[in-house]
Amino acid sequence: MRKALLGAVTVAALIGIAACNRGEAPTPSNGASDSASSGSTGIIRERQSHYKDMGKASKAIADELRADTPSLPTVRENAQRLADYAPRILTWFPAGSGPEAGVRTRAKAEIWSDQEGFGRAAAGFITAAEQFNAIVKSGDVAAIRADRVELGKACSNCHDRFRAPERE
Amino acid sequence: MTAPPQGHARVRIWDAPTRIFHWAIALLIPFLWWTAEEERLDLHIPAGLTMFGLILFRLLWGLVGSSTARFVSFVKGPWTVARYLAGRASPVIGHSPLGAFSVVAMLSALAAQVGLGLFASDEDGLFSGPLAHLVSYETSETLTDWHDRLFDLLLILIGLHLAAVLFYLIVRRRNLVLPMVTGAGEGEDAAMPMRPAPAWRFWIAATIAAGAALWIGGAFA
Repeated sequence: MRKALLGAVTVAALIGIAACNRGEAPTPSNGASDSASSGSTGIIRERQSHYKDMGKASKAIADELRADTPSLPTVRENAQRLADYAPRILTWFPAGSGPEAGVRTRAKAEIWSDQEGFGRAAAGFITAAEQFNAIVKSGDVAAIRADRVELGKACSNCHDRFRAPERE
Repeated sequence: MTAPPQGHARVRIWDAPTRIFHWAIALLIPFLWWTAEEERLDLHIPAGLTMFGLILFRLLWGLVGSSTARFVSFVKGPWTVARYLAGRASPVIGHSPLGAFSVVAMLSALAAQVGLGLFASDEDGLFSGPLAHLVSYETSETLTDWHDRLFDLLLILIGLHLAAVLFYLIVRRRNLVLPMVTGAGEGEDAAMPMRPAPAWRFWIAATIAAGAALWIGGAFA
């Protein structure tokens, strides 16, 4: 019993790691196919896979910046990916791909009812992603760390207002 | 001076570390819930690390603490639990054989919850548990999912715990909350009194637990 208690932390973690690599990486899309799938279901799925891709890039950057000597090529690659994705965001939300689509999406109706506000938030992210990418290219780790916080704020600025919570 | 009723005396039941641990997690759990709900991960992560330290301390205290805090003293087999339910168990100070099950279940669930939290991250890759960098985005996402779902089990266990406390208060006319505050309560003469652990053991266990929490949180990096 004692052992079971002591091991609980590690066991839970290890089981998780061992059993949970089933989530397949979404295929990274290549610009041209943004609205290739027909219907809002396809649009929503694709949008979600893009965002997941961005989340991955963001985690990869965070993981590196956590280390004493981050791998700059990894940070550079992922910063570039975010900067490439940023200007495309506004094309991912055609009319009809909101909560009314009948597929589970956390995109809030406000994206379409407050298009100006959504556009401003997206523009803020484009600027932040470009700025971050430029600083990453400079290679100054301290400056990169500081600007990542700013980039994070630009992500959250939009998510807080236009994305519904994961669990209602 | 009023004499205590025959067969009963005021005795020490819980030492201070056990009581402080209990009330600290009782406060921390609602706070952790709230910070998760409000997506205040900047507060949730330090609070989770505090919980990590508390749980680790309690596990150590379960090995070297005062008699009523030790797992060997209160964790009994199903046979003893059955005898206890039949009212034929020998009197004990501290956790009853059935209560011990609840303690073990709650501690295990909390330990697993904290363990999952270490590897969890938000979907935007902005906030992550202190060990999330050791696993992939997908694995972290799955563990975060479990972290989210395990909380429901914790709520059930806490609900059972509170129901048991109420049952004792109303049906058995025994207040279990007060001893958890003052450390002392009514004990039966036949029961073994609590043997307190020396203070140095507390300091060693507390230093190990706090050091591990700080280390895992990256304070020494």
